[in-house]
Amino acid sequence: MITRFALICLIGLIFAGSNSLYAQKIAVGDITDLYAATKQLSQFIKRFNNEEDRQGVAYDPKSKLYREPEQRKQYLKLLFDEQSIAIPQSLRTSFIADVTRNEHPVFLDFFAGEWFAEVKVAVSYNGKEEEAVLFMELEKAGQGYKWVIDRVYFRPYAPYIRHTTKNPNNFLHPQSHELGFMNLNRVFESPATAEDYTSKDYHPPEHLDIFMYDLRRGVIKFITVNDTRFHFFQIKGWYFEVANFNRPGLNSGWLINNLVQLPPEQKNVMLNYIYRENR
Amino acid sequence: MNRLIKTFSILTFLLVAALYAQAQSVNITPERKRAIDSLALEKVRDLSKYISIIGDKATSMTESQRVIERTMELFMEGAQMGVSSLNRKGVRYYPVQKYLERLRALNYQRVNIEWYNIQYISDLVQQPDGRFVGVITIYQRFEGVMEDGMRYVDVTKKDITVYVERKQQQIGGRLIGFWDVLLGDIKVTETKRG
Repeated sequence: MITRFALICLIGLIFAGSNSLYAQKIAVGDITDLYAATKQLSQFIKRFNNEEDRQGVAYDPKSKLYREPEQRKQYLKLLFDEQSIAIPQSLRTSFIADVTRNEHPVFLDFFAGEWFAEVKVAVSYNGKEEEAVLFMELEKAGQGYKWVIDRVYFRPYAPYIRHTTKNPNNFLHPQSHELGFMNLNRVFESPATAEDYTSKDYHPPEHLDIFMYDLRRGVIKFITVNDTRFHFFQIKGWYFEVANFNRPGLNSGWLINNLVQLPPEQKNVMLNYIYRENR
Repeated sequence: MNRLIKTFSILTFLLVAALYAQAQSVNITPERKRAIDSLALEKVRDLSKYISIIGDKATSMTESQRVIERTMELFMEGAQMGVSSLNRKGVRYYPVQKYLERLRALNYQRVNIEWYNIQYISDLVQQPDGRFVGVITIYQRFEGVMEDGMRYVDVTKKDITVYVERKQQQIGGRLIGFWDVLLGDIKVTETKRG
């Protein structure tokens, strides 16, 4: 409780000096809220690195204030979702100490990869509204960069995609050709085991493959974007998620709502969880 | 008058030349970025001014049509307005022209738009076709007063896409390349009702 009060006071102090002439026309509280909000993911990264001043103006990289560690520690404290019970205070402290350590401070880099977006979109599928999860990555292209769809998770497909080992008892015997492959009926009569009869080189399609196919067939139609969040693996030994909180008060905008200490060998476990590959 | 035109031409030329110099380099220096940001903010301010005029009942139909046309000149072709709300999931999409026509149809007696002096401008990032793209975030207080005195007030967060695009223009018989700023898709997030 004391920590939270201290945090709110701190934000107030940080942003109290930011009021413009407009602040005289409108409630000071409102303007403080708006300054405090982490308005874009770009701003999240800049605050994480302490690359801008309190008004959001970027520091010159040659300035002493650029990435200055003490101010950076204060910013980092403000970048957590205060309402999340998933992140113990001790974990935050440990994370902040790790990324701001004197010898090798760690910064986020927009172009360095190891982070991606998870976008939940509402689509119409066979006339019924469903949610698809798109995993977007930044890709270098032409003279610059673009966001691309790297993966998709679409619940209606999940029961039909098998990633299990083939049953060795299901096969078409090597003399099947002499019978004009009449035994193929076994394959088609039990679709749930049909993959047992495929070549060893066959791999089940990814959701993205089928999604694109259905999109082209016109079975899937876009409705809207429901939610966007970002997953960061850029800080060695850590994973965190950033989501948007559109709410009144000083703790709003793009904030860390999940933080996990992650040894490199467990990275794939976390990725599988995010990609819903274990469900 | 001639002197004014001459001064304006010189200023335009200097701006064009400055932006042209930037085209030669992929990395935009902080100084160049500030110049581009300021040009982009000018366009955003124009947009705000035009929205006030379009939404105001005192504006004649002919005048509002003219202002809608002027507003469309600020935008890239195909730009959309995305509207989201605290009260529902998802984003609703309107072509900018349709959004402006809907605004005109709201028919407020008076529209007052105030800006919180908060603009957050992202870095400009180069996209595959060479154009640079950035996002300006602003907060805007919209107050619409109906004929019966009822007021509608909201504070909205606007995330405005800004494209910095290379163009060519004839100046004094010479074809000069320069970078122009155009607005793209805008996402309006309804923050709260006042």
